Amino acid sequence: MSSQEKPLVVAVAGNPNAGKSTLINAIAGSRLHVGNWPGVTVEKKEALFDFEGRSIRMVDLPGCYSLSPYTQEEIITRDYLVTEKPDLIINVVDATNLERNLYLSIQLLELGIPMIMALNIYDEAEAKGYKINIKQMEETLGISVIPTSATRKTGLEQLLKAVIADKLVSPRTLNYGEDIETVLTGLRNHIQHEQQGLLDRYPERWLILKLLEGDTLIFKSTNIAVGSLPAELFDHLLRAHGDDIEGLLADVRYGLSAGLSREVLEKPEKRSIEITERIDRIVLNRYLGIPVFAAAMWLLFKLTFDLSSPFGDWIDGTLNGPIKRWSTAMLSGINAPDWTISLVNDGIIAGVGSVLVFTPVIFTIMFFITFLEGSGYMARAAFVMDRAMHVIGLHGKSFIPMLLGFGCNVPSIYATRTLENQKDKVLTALLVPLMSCGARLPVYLLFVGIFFPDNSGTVVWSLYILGMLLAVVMGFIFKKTLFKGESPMFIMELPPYRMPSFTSLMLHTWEKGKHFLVKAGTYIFAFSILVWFMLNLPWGVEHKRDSYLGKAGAAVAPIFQPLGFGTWEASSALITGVIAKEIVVGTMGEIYAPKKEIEKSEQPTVGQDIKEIVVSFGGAVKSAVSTLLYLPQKEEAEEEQSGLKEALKAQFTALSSFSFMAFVLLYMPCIVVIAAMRQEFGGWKWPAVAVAYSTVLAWVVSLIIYQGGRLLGL
Amino acid sequence: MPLELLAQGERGEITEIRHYGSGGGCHCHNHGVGQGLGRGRGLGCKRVPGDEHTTRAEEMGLRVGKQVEVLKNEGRLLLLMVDETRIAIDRRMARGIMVKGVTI
Repeated sequence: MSSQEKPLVVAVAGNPNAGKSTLINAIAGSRLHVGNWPGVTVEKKEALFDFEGRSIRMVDLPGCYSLSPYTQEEIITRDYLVTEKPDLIINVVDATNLERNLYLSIQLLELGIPMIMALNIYDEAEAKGYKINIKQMEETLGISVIPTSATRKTGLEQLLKAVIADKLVSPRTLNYGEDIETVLTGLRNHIQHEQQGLLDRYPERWLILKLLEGDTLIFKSTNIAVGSLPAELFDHLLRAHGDDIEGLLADVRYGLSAGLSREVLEKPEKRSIEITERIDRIVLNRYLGIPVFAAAMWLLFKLTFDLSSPFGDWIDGTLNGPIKRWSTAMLSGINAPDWTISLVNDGIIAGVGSVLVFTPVIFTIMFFITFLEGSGYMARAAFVMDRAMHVIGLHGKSFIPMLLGFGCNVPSIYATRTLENQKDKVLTALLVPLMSCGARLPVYLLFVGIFFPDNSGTVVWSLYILGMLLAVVMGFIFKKTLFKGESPMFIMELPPYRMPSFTSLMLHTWEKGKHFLVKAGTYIFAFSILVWFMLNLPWGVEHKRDSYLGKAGAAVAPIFQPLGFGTWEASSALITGVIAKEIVVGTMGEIYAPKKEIEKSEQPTVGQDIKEIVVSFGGAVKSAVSTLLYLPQKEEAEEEQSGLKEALKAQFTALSSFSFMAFVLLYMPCIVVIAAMRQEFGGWKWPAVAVAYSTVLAWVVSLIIYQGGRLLGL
Repeated sequence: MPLELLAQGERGEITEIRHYGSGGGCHCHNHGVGQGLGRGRGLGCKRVPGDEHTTRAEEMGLRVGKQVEVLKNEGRLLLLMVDETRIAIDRRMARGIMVKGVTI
């Protein structure tokens, strides 16, 4: 029963790694709605639910260490708190790391918003032998303090009870020392005299403190001219404490958090060697670190592809078999014209299907990545890989997205989220398309089968290496041009190892994968229809060459002449490959060897179809399990595509086929990657840069391969 | 001495955090913070408020008066233990953090 009154707006704030997100998941679970903060790609989680008859709207603020205006997370957090004025703040505090967490708490108190503290990870603190005097904390801070453990789901009910029982009065103001308090009072009187409205618009004490600190964002939004505040107010403070007031205030807050933590916290004398330390000794070992990391990554890939590929095949089979048959039957049933049937089957189902096939891979890989993140290993991987990545001007954290790129570039783009610095995010995302993804493999396989049957493995491997080498080169070039300036300093917390809870794993996996399904699905859908029309217009086109796509192919073909594949067929295939690179193969099939009309005599019934779907799903499960357990499996017979092979032999040479493969590897990222980049970086600028540089790079590299090869007499 | 010079397993107490970059020059990143009063600007580089990385380090717990233990010091990164937090920082940053040795 939902209550009629306005929901109580509760903002949840806290340090990164304080278990904030686990806490919210535990409280809100499936009622959690994930979106983005306006204009940025930082996730915004919200939940609306009832607790004991009171409706509560919970807003998760990004994790941050303070409310200074330096990072996106901090700015979002403070803007939300200051302008939206939630009814209450839940400050999630890591009980095992009290002093540092209290630094943020003290700044939150400055806002004067009613607050409750969730003393989280309390179970671990107890296990470590910490004794925390909660009563004293409550008295000193003037707020309720509730011990919680989000992973064990303890204390959550008490927390919510405290939320609805809260009298919503401003917490106590902490005394910052006589010198500062005097200035604050003076400043307050001055503002009250000059611009009374400001004190109503902003939390009073917070505004005055920010003005004293000289926070430019605040000066700008309040329209107070820098330097216009009467100097005599600060003279004493400056003379007594030097000119760095921001530093002075930081010191005061640090002092308060250190003092409070000293007073309420009692630690056991000797620190026991923790599990984290033991794992780190192996994982971060100078010699073992990289092998351990390599093994972890190998396992991740192995598990991902073994587990997911049977399901991908199942989706493929289901879409191309039963679903297409059903849509044909349904559309024929309502007397739809043939072109509609072709649009739905060859355009929409084939196009969207080619992407849906990747869903199992993406969700599985996201599951494992979420696990690595949640357990704390991801930060270690970044630590271990830092030196290698430094060569291309990135630090260790960028390694993970790049590695994922070999599976599929799309999750890699989303994985750049784990990087803090916008510059690193963008540079990493720009280099990701150079990692040869799974979708390019079918193209290589088709060509090496025809032109390099004896050393196919080496040729495919050389393409992967080519991509990586070019990533090093491009990384270096970008560093010198678009991303000039000193590389940002590296600072990262390595959180203690923790076992992520299964529900939180599933929830985060879904959040990550959902973006792929929804956004990619819409773009692909639109593009599939477009391509179909391009291949089938003008109306009643007899030969594919005369279709718009064929004409477009013919028009751009001269550009590819120096690269060794200046035919309209190859060009058209490349144009469609923009949707997803493996479509190159499909288009080539369409163009070179038009399919024979499928016999319509032996149509299976709907019942048989459903049976087939279920049986093949069972087969997929069986196959996933058996590859996992290394049980032998029957190899599937490859489809014969002799017509296509003959046609390609006539048009390509070994050299031009290699040049073509290199081009397919490098030329513009597929549409899904572009969409992902746009979503992540909010705008078309970086996708445009990626498209431009990769296409130019592809052309230049293919030119060097083809013309160089010809000079060598190949 | 700079934190950079502490060997693995050694401890030190932070005495000063210099807000210098790698070039030895003074990085007066003008984030504009600290100039609100029209003061505190250009008055030497003892502490340049607004250097976001050092500020971040301080927020994470690396502050004057704190004891740090160097868990790892090899290659480009140092792994530190401050209170209950493990923090990885690069060598450049460790160069700007002054410590005095502490015997365990």
